[in-house]
Amino acid sequence: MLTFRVSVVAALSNLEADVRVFGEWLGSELKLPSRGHALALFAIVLIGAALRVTGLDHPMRFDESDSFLHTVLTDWFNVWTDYTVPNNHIFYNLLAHLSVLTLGETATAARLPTLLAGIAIIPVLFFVGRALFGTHAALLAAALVSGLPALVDYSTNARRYMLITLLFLLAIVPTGILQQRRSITAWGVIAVLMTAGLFTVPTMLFAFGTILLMVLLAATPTRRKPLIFESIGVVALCGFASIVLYLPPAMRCTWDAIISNRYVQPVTLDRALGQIAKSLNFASTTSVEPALLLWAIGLGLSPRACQSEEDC
Amino acid sequence: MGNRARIVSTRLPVGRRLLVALIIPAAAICVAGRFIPPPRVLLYMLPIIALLSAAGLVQLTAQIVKGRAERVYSWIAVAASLLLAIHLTATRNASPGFDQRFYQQIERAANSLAPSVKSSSLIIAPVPINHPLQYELLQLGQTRRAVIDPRHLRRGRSLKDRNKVWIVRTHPEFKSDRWQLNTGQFDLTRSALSEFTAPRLVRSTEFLQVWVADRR
Repeated sequence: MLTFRVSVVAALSNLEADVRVFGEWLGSELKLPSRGHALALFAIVLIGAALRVTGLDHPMRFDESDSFLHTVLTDWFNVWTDYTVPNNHIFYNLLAHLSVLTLGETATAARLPTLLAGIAIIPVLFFVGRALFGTHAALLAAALVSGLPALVDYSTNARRYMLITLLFLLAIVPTGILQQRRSITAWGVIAVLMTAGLFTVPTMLFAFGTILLMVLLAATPTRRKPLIFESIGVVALCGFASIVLYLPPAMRCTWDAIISNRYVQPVTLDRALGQIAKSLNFASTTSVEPALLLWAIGLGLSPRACQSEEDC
Repeated sequence: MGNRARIVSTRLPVGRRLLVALIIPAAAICVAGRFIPPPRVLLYMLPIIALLSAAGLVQLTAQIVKGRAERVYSWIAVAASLLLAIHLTATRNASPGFDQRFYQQIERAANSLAPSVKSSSLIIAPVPINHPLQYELLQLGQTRRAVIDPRHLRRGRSLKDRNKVWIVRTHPEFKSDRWQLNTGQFDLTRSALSEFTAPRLVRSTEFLQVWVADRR
């Protein structure tokens, strides 16, 4: 009994130290940029936010109005358990339900979580980008996402897309410390974000896979093996948490309703390429070629990109 | 210095490993989605693609702006953001996209229907009109069950006690690769309305038509 108590106390104090180290590391990662960069980032976030807020008056689209009428306007239990159609992005709709209860039964209230996520993506991408490529690339990337029509549109569409994107970007932040040392707190943060994403939509699995690949590909030889085992542990934890969270809808509507989406059908190559080009274009009515050329040049040079300003 | 060189030599450069980390899940999504899934499934990657492109562009221009990089990149970023915002707003105001025009017409149809719809009326509207129309009617004070999909139309049940039926459908000449349109459903609806007068067209726009039929 005494041994058990000693090991619990040791584990708790280890955890406390782990949280403290993670907090210090995070503080240094999120340190504000220089005054010039901070002002530029602030201006970009403001422009991106204004662009998104003005799109809030777009009439309700089909999927979001379906979700609004048949899920968001019902009660908490129904939002959590009704999976008769895969249109219910549960975690998003729980947030939208809370927003509607607080602000009233309007499109703006239902779109508020996606709007906030869409705006938050801009500064979060800046901090993620700064850690990976330095401040200049991070600032340019923030500027690009602030006005990219695809991201602006989805920021005013009461659906999962911006929430998933934000959770994915947030989960990249703690991966930095994992390359240096073992951090239960960093894995805990990733696990919470990924479980929230999986609870929104099962296809978050792909974003989860992307995060794990980023962690494993960045690992130094000494950290590679431990990271593989730690990744397996986190996958198991998130899998278990997701199964528990999906149990009520599965009991009401079967597991098949959750894992097989009959509405998402493969599309033709032409249509997919057209939609991808449209997502990368800077405005829906202008020619896509200049935008694609810019993306191609940037992506083509990215394998040789500098990791910081000093390296350039 | 020696330690840094050793680490760099054993790891992929960040740009390459990010590309690999995007390409493998994209391939997995294609396999899971039976070849080509709708690109919106890949939307979560878009900010990272923007970051990679931005890093590439910085690599390209690094030698030119050396020495005053902070100021130059800050101005370029703010200017790019502002130009994108102005361009997007201007092009959308000048010519609203398909989505905007389509759903605006539903909004207008709801505005025109709302004063005429009584509790003894029924509105029949197929996908993708039904839910947006119902939402707009709800905002205008109509009950939530005002609109039904023609697939759920049960002759003698939904139509029982109804004196007037409004039918909102897409314009027959309107073509879309996004929505499978509903001429067949409209014919089905008309065949279910045997106790009503022949539907007459009361409103026609670029995308929508509103028809009305009264009980005989």
